[in-house]
Amino acid sequence: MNVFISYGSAADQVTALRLQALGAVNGLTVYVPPAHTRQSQAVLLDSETAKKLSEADVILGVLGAGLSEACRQELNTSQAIPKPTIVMADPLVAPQLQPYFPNLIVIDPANPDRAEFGIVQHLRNIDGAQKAKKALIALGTLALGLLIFAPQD
Amino acid sequence: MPSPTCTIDASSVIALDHLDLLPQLSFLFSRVLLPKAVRTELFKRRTTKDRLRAVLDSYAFVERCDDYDKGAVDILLIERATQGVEDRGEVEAVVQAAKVGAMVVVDDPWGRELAARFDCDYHGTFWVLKRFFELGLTPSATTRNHFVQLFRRGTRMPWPAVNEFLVAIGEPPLTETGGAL
Repeated sequence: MNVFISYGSAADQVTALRLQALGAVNGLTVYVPPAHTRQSQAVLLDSETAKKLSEADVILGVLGAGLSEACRQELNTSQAIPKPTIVMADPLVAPQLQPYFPNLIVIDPANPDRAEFGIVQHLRNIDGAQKAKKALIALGTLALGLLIFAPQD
Repeated sequence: MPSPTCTIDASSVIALDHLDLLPQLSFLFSRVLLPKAVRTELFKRRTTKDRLRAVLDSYAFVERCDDYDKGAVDILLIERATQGVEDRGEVEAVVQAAKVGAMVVVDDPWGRELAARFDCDYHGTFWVLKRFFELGLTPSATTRNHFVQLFRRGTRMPWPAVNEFLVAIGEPPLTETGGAL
């Protein structure tokens, strides 16, 4: 199964890379866009990203420190295609994201169960194969843990 | 909890990149600092020049790091030069690590000795591969295969300790004549 992880900003890439490694151990092929895509204000997705998006079975958005233009475009594309998608965000960046992603899962470190419940609820409402939904639950739960327990600067 | 940071010497970068394991370093460190001298060393080699550029473009947690006490490095290099070696990379890795409270990932024995003198936590590529196994990121057979690849490349490694580790995880040790070598 191919997974595309769209991360908010360069600072979020570590979480995406950790998910990629955990996914690989469990037989998932996980694509994480290179960091330079988060530093450019390009108005079009690059061809490699567009290809990986179209090949992906599921898409996971992880936004801990902000929303780059590339991430916004990737997640908009995932909704347009459409592909089974979950977007998870830190409470600090959630307000700026909610207009774009009404089904945003907000991660509250004090109440992680709410995010988990939100993932399950969201997956009930989207189309997609059972396998894809299971992969999203697993990756969403891992992302939740990584975002909550990640060491801070 | 502070975010774990390391500085890294060229030999470890080359070894981990050869095994395609640089992204997995994000499991151990939130920031991997590449001193200028290490970058210069990697840029000098045709085989690593393009890879280094790609690594810096691809991974935000791998960062250039140029802010260090150049005087301290120069003095230490004089000491190193008396041994007939002029490798600035490991000296910068240690001095920068000491400045920011980072771990040093270095394989060279003198670099490790220097890290100890600077009271830095230090480990080598062997430790990194062990940690990947312990974290469940690489199964035992894959871990052994990684060591086989590094042996074939002539990478500096504490091979007796590697073999002890392989036996402990249920894998056959590496031998000069038998097994995979």
